[in-house]
Amino acid sequence: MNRTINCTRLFSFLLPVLVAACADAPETGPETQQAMPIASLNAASPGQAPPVAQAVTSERLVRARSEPHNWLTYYGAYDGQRFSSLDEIRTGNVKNLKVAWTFQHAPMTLMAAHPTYGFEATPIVIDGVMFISGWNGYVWALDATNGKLLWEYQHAVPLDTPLCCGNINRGVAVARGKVFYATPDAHLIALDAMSGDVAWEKVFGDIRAGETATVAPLVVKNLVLVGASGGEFGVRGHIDAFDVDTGKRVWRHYTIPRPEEPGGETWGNSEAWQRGGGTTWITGTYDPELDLVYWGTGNPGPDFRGNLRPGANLFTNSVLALDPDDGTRRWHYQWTPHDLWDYDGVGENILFDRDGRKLLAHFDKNGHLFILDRTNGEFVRAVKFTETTWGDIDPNTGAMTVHLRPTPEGTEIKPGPSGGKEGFPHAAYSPKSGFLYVPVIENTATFKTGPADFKEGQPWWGGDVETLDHPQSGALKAFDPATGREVWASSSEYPMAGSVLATAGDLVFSGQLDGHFAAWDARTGEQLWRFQTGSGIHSSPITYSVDGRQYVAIPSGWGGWIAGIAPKMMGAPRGAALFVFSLP
Amino acid sequence: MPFQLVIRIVLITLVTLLLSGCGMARLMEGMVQTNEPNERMLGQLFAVGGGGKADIGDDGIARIAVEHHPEETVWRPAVILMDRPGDLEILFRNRNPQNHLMIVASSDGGMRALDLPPLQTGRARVHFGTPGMYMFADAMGNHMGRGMMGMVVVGGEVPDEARLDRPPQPRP
Repeated sequence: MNRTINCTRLFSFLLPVLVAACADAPETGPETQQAMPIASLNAASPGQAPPVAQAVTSERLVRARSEPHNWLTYYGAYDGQRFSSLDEIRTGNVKNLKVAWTFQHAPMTLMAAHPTYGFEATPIVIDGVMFISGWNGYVWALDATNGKLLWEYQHAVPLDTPLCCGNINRGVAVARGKVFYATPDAHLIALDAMSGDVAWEKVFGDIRAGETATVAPLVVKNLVLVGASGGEFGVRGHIDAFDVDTGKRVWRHYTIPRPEEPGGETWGNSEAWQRGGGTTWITGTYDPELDLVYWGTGNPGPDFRGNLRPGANLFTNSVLALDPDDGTRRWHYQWTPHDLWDYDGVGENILFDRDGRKLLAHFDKNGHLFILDRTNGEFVRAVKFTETTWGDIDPNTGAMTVHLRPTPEGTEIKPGPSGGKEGFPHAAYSPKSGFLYVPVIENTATFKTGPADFKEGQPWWGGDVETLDHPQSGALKAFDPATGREVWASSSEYPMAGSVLATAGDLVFSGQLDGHFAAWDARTGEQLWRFQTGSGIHSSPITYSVDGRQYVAIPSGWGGWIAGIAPKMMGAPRGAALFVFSLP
Repeated sequence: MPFQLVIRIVLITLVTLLLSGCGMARLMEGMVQTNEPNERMLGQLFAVGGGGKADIGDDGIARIAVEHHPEETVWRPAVILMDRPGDLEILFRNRNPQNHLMIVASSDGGMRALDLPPLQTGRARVHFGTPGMYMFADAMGNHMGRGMMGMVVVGGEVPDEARLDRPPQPRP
């Protein structure tokens, strides 16, 4: 008993000493605090949007051109023309445009690829409500008349997301009461369009393999289509289709065939297909009559070491005409067989008719405008729209002749890896003027081949490009697709990296990397108006109207693949703001 | 030797070892020279609060507690390990007479904010849907710049249906 008492006394003495020695801090108080979604801590936002998206059906999307007050889908309509029949703002009064409202946002913590974040999205507008995505997983619903934030959603993006080129996103799709958004870590998320709450979520890419996403989804009938990025990481490109209502994946189309599949013979190496690239990072277009989706594919991998993948490397750098119901490929056309210069063929495929013929126009990174018969992929003509030294495309046959290739010591080649026109931004077509309008990059780069040891999830270029020490400029150009004639060109001191919007007011709008957002006469190329937004324009303008008043919207915020597009603008002001203009 | 004496010797030895262990830990921290406010700035170098693993409970939720001790500008642990994507519950214990405003990334409802008054405890439930690194940070003043940020490292793979149809590839 005495022993027990003595031991107890000893413990009673030593225990506080022990605790005091090892614990050098006071204990905390009770658990009193609970974390809240930060979006709920904005008293100025109701967290709710009107039910404008409930009635957006696939039929309305097909007839989007008949709703000029709305911008219903990524290109405004399935044809990819980026044209609006609104004409309240026209050549005679565009000089009076004033800022109607702005919307700003900024990062709160560090984020993936922080120095590269930019504002590149295309807004969607439905009956007075704007839906737009930002960088780092943000999606916002705004009142399209005054910029009031209606709701906000943010997806957590891993800091180590293998982004090749920037923390950016190209926009959302809206249909059947949902907002569809592809996250940087390749999740397709369906948000309730009224609340911003998640309705369903699916993973469609492997971040550990180097896949990411920047694409704006495309809703076609009962499916929502997305493509993945990662062409610089040795992935295998694909397009995925999910059921709009349930999120069930209906099909996946790989752009790189297995050796035993058609096109597999164009890889000349039994393993090259596994890392062949051909990613699908730009939204496709759709012809409801032909029931064909036109989707572009990116460069083969590794970018600059063609000897590792001898052959044409189908179906990279191509347009694929797909059956939207099952993803079957009906035809393809390859813009740059056996690409050695990172000339992705992902850019938009503009659908238009001329002389009773259903045509497709594509400005490729390789510096050539292609016109195809979109019913069968038959070549019609090609026209050079910027200076090229890598090679030429025969204007009458489409045959390619290569002049310059990357070398171990480095070779100066035009255009640089951003191409004569990047895959993003986008050209436009005006059925009123009959002209195509394209933002042009004039630059040169030194292309070098180098090591190409492959490790999954790591960059796999097989060389590098030097861009900084070369001259660079740009232009906005108009072409007549019937003849290939250059109608006019408006030169720019900097590469043009903003999409073009054409309107029935005989205007074309685009932005410049010094921050100016501007309007040109669609027929003459005369610049009629401009406004300094404070940061470079690398996004897509749209126009819409509410209660009869026409607005023009443009996201401003320089970022993305700056080193490739305009390295001399590396130090230009960054930012992230949406500007919306109207007449007084 | 009387049994009582043996017990006393054992206990005193044990206490001495424990005390010296605590002292050794402090000494080692001092040797690193990054774990105390230094002469050039009043904060600390990035992420020196150590690591800790979040344990997954029967309900499938991973849980961990992190603390802010007095006279430090770090969260302990500053690196939280999760075995796989999913829900994470972090108990933030503020053992310091400073206010904090914790910002934690989440895919479920967006970034979380947690007001944390002195000597109080708060809870944040978040969701991470993809393997990778996610940040938590103290948005009060420049607590973040002075070291009060951390990382959640989520392991695992994406779902099988999202992976590429190709043979296994070499990884770094």
